Amino acid sequence: MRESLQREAFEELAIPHLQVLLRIALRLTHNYAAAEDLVQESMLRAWRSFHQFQPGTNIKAWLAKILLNQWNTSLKRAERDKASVELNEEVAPPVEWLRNAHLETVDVMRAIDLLLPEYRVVLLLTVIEGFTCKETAEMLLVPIGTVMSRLSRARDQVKKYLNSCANASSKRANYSYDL
Amino acid sequence: MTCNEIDQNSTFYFSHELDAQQSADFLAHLENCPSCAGKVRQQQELDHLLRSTVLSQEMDTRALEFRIRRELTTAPQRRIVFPRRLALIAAGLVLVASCGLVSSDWLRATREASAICADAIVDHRVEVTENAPKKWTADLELIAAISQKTVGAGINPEQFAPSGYHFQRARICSLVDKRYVHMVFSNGNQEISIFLRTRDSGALQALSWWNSRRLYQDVLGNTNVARIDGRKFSFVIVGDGAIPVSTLANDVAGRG
Repeated sequence: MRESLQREAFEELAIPHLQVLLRIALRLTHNYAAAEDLVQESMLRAWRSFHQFQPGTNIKAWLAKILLNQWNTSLKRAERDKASVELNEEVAPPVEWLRNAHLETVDVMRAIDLLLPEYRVVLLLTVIEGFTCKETAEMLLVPIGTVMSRLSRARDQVKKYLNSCANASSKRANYSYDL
Repeated sequence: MTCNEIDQNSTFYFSHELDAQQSADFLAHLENCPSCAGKVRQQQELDHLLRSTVLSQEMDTRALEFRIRRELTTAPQRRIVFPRRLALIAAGLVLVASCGLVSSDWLRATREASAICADAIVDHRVEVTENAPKKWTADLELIAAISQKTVGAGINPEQFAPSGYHFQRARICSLVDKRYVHMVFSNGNQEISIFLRTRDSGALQALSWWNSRRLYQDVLGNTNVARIDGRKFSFVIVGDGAIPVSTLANDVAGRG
């Protein structure tokens, strides 16, 4: 009975953050099925460690940290999965979404996905998900200065990629105008 | 605050990590330095573009939530077990094992069947009962080609329609880590899901036998599920309400 109350409390706190966790996991793994698996394993770990969670503290950061640890563990266990996306039905949701999106959206997502993992994860946590630099440093177990420098590099690389996309599309526009 | 410090502190400012004095210094510098103000504005525009693009990507987490909630009901929290309790548990296990009441193969197979069936229930509920948008096809040639590629056999879904049911659509999915052909059949009132894959070499043992075929059954809420091996294929049948999935399972298994 006591455990079921604990479980209800955990679900009430943790389940609302599934979207955030899945979003981070998807940008890390580039594979929808792998992202779901990562989130599921992380939630199970979080449940098993729930007795260590201090009520009133940032549950989102706590869950994200567990997810990042789980991801690092899976990277160490196996090679990073760079499986080809060969009309895999399980990748469908984000791919289907991108098919209907404007070109600029595709470019932005690609710019993020092309970042080195250590830059990408900092960008995801700070810019996208709104964690502070201090929270991000604690989650990644690196100094704040490292977070700042990785974030700066991430922004520079994203800008560079998007500028090249913008140049490419303006060249295409000029060409069609000449026709 | 210098221009160099503005560079370093802009992220801290927008994440509210600067104290009141530092924030005031930051703003004061921007008011007097158009160059820094321009850089900060560009950075904010880029951050906004990235954030709005990623956050606009909606993801359906219902199936994931269902699987997590189900897993939580069976996963105990880690507890500190006192040695005395450990000894009692160990003694109990030895007693049960020595009575020959536990087969490790049986336990492993039952857990595997349970996990597969749980996944099948989730897929059925989200994709069939709740009509979550998924890529289905009713093209029999395409289904044969895709199933040949993914499960090792060209499938004709109409061959597996239970009596009174008609084939509606199919797609490829994964249950646990294995690829299945997910077929939907209708009797005019309700739809059932039949998941199929070629039978593994180590067939799952079962809790009961049905006409000499191995059958595993379970129920979750209003949804019934049965897993059965045919001669060539393994099937998982999912239906809502009073649908007799065991009977359907035996019907389907006899066809493959």
